Amino acid sequence: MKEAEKGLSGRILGGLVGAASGDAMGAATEARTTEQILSYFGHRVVDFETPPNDTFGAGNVPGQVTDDFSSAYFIAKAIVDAGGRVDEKIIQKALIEWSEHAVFFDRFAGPTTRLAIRIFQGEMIESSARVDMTARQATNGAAMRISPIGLINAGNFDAAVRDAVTAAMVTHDNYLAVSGACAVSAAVSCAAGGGSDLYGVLQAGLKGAIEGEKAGRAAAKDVAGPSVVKRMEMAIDIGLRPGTPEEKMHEISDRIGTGLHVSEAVPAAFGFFAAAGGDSMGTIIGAVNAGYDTDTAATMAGAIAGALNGASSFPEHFLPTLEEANHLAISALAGKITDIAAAKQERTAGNER
Amino acid sequence: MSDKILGALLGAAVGDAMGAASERKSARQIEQLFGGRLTEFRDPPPDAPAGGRKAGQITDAFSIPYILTEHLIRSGGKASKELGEQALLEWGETEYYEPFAGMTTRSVVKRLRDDSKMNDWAYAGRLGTKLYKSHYYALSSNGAAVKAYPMGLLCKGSVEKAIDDTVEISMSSHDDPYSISGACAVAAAVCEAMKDHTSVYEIVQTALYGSREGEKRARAHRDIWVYPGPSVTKRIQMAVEYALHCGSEENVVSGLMDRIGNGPAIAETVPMSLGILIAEQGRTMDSIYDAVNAGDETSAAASIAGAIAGAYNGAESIPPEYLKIIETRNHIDLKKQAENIRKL
Repeated sequence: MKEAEKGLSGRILGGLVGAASGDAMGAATEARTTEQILSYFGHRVVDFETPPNDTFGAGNVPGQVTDDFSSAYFIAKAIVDAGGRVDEKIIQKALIEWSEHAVFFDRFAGPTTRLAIRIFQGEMIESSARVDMTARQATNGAAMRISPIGLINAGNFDAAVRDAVTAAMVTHDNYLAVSGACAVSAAVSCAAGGGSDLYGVLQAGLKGAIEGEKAGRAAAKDVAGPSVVKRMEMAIDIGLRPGTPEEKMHEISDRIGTGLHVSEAVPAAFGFFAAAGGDSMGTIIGAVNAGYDTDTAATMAGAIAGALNGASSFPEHFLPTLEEANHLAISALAGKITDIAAAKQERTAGNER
Repeated sequence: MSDKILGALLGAAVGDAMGAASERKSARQIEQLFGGRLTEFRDPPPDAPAGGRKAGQITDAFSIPYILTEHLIRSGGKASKELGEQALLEWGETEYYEPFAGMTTRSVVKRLRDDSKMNDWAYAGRLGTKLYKSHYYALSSNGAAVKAYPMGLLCKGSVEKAIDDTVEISMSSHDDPYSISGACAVAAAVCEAMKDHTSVYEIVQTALYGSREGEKRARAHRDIWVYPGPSVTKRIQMAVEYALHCGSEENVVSGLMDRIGNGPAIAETVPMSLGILIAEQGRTMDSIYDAVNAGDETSAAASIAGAIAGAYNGAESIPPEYLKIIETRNHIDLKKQAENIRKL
């Protein structure tokens, strides 16, 4: 069992468990500051907790996820059903199906995603659209659900970036959101591919952000806002500095920010991963206790670290708790993603021969 | 002394009106739209928040502090939360409210209007929505900072009074430590810029003092709401570091934009404005042009940079015809307001 978990299947399952547990743990801390998290729980959050009554996750049981992992799960399922293909229609269909689950969509869906789903379901949006709102749509919603695309394209940077551009554009049609999505997808792909380490995954993430920015500038809308790439460099600098993970968590929260903007959440996720030296639980604990949009940062950071270290890097009760609390078949999905990822790797290797 | 006061008012107004045409656009979009750098008043494009309005017309960024200043003059310079609320309510009746009220200010004006009609149960029930300020995007927003310069002008040279007054006024709409931190940074910077002998270095140091003290005094306030978000003080330090890293001025602004940003978050707008002032060594119009062309919330950044640099350099650092354009196109009397401030 342990041996198998270190292989491709263990890393892919690790990516899913990391994303799901980051989301579920963050559901309890979202919208609070670090100080408010400490004072509410009496300690740092290091396991699943019941979300307080005054936050978005109110009513969730410990281990229950929000929009972040649930939308990622539906996208992964749709891509698996399509034999590993990623196109606009498949992503749209997955998101519509996801939006029909009130437990996820009605309670949690963010502003940019909500609007996009209404539009591609054919609804005419009233003319409040006189004012161009693109600058407020460079949010983290596309990046938060992109990790399955990195898993399916394990070890294939180009495919991970290409498919991430396609998937991100469906809801977040601006170059910053695309850049952020490609950073996460590329990092997860590198981690799941095996044979890499913390530095390698960080480099893949940065390269993904740069390639995503280029692709986004060509295909998506221009938008005003801070650069995902530059903020990632700054966050990784903080993460790799001397100091404890906790000190660096405060610095990332104070300087980079952990809010809705794609140039806060995505760079911060990489910062927490670097600050924990790539350790799975350390990464998630950093993101979960940093405050603000914790579940989104922790979903992305957890996917990256989990794919690097495999499913055995999480406490044993995590996977059964997640599957039971959410009625989602996470291990079965991981198995199907592994089959497709392995087949894709075979094909790529065949093409190179 | 009067030319410094008028310089601050005019700098803030010119920055707002010029930025109205580039608001929310990226630097590249601004360049394409205006065929190069925007350095004059232009009609805002139809898809801008100010779409349909004319060149030289101000938006919320200057109209809110202009009305606030009138209230402060009438009270003899005494600032209070209630005065801030009255000024916002008056502003809520103007032509500026519908097109321009931002995410925080809009909900505050609505709340103030409702307060008079609400019973205790309804009032208590609504407190729940304060958890997210009724929005979740950039919880500490720049609205507090754009209306902070009047307290720097009315503090009679005392940075402590400028900070205390700004805490009071901010509590009327932006009652959280980071909003107040950013607002106090601006008020303190303007207070320092009003001195006869000062420097950009001293202005920025005073802004940092205001940012730290404002946050501290806000946290000690009993009605304060604490929200997560990046630290204004640390982001100012980052902007200062970056502004000094770079040799060429143009690179400084796009580099600041990439790293600090200029969106509605107060931890972006205020550090960005101070970084631009350093890059331009405090020159009024160059600072305004930089902010206008940097992109995103250009009106806010240009009006903050304009107020500080205008106070530092005086009204003669701004083209003389701009006073007439601003006054006639907006039916406001900046010279009279400056004179009334001076009398206090």
